[in-house]
Amino acid sequence: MTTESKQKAYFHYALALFVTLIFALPLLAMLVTSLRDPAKAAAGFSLWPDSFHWQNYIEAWRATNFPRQFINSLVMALGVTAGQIITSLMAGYAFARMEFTGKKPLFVALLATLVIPFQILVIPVFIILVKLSWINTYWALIIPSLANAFGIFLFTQFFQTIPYELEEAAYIDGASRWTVLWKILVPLAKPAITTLFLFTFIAEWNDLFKPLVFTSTKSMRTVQLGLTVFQEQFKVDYALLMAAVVFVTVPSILLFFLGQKQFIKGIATGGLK
Amino acid sequence: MATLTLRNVSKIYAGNVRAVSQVNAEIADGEFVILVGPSGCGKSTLLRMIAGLEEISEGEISIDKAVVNAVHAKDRDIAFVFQNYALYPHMSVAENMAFGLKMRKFAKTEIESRVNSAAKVLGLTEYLQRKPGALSGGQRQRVAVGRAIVRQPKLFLFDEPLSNLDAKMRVTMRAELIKLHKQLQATMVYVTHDQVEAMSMGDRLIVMKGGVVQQIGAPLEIYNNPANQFVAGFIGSPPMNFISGEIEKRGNDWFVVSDGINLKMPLSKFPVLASAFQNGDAKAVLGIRPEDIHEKSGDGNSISARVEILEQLGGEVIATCSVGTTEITVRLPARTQAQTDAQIELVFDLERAKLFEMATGKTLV
Repeated sequence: MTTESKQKAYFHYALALFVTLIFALPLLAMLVTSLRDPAKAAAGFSLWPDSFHWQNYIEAWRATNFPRQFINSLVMALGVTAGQIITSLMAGYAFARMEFTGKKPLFVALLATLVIPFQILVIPVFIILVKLSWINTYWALIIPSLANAFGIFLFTQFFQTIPYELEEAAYIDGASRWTVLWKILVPLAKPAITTLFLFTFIAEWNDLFKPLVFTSTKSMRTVQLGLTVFQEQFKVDYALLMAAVVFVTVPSILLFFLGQKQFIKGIATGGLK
Repeated sequence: MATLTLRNVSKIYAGNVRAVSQVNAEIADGEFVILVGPSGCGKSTLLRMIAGLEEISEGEISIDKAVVNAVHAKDRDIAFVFQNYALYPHMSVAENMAFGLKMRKFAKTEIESRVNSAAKVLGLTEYLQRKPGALSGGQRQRVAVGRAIVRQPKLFLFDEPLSNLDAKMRVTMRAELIKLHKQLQATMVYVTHDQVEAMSMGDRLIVMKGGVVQQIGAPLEIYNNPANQFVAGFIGSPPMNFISGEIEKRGNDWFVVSDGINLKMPLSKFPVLASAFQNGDAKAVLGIRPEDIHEKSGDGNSISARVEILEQLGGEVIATCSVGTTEITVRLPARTQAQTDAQIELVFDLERAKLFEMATGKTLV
């Protein structure tokens, strides 16, 4: 390595370190504050823990109904994610492999829905849910989000990269279209499935707006709603608040690390083809 | 095993584009038939129509006398080996081979025994648990063949299965497929653009061009008696030499005359020449294979040519020579004295030469 290229490498590493710090600092602050003495944490901000108050976590967990909220969030996030994967797989297959009238305009219309924010749809959806008596039920949290243009687009692009011969070989082997989709194409679509799983699960887990509008009872609160309520209750108790935030953040971070490899593969696949 | 009948089979795409036009053929039980022709001649489309992967626009396809036009690919009881293997990447070799049997609800023990015996025949036993990604091209091709044979279908269809392999592996697999056909005695239709594959593997060839069948026959019959100039040029390597010239009648003799070439036709061709050209003064194409031209060794009429290129193949030498503006390829013995850029005296074995109509390319004699 020449001196010049070494200098260049050092510069790149320094830059990467700087950017990493910017992104890591809030997380670090959260972790440190969650472990500090509540009284000291209320008095002032520090990036260095003066003591390790693990008790904060126990108190935060007990202070509000977190177990129930975790279950609610899990049901919503897993329900929506599973639903979106199934609907996106099937619609993506149809757009990629089947010929039908109006396919192109329909696909364009579908993509156009990506620019419509959920906030615009919330009133009509709310009215429908009221009419179905679904407010304050899991249905209200899951059903309106079951189909997603991004997921369909992702699978359409993915299925287009799979050679036709694979499907034809399966047809000749005696498979039906349904079998071809589930036994041949879906196992090959693992990277795309992981990508959609992570995107959707994290988005749903972090969603505050939908549960805020479609639920009002304590028993239907999700973690994000619970956190907002918690924040109201423990406005100045930063240590407890941050301990609660850690609870809520951990599943997303954990999932990302678990699926990181497939996730990046999925983004690359979706992006290149 | 089964017979296959094609009756006026055509494939017409949008805009009245005829990819395959009015194909008629009878393929007997246990026969190995090769569909051969240049790229885009419709041979793969025809094979896909037989398989049920492509709709039949006109005509009828029957397997064992039953018309299958409306029968779905999975119900035709055929096996298809694809050019790119089309193995399921997420399944092991054993699972790939067993998939068709599982779909047809065969008993587990029967599946196992068939997969194992096919693997044995194809030398795949030690690779059964591997994924296709961990196999070489030749092994993958064997798995694709294995997937076909475990099903014991009525009809085997191969779509250029060796074209992705290197030259050496292609020769090995060619021999293995011939052996396999002998062993199974199954009806096979094999598509290739490689005329060496066609000549060496098939019981019969169907030569196609522009979606139209040019000739059907045994390889040697087609080689020796091509129906037209296209078939004559396509089958054979190096290809047949074509010399466009005037047909002249001088006294009782017939000649083909071209730039620097003056060839007296043998007596055996006189009747056809007389009926086709009456008094001569017409154009025709003379076709002669490279092995029917020899270096002059004794007395007799010869043509002087200039050697442009010599390709030493070890067992023989392929010489590209020029006579006036005509280029002639000659197959010479390995120990030839011919030198590049030197003159060579060539003798044409005109008994074996062909004459083609200038306008239509049809074989005259």
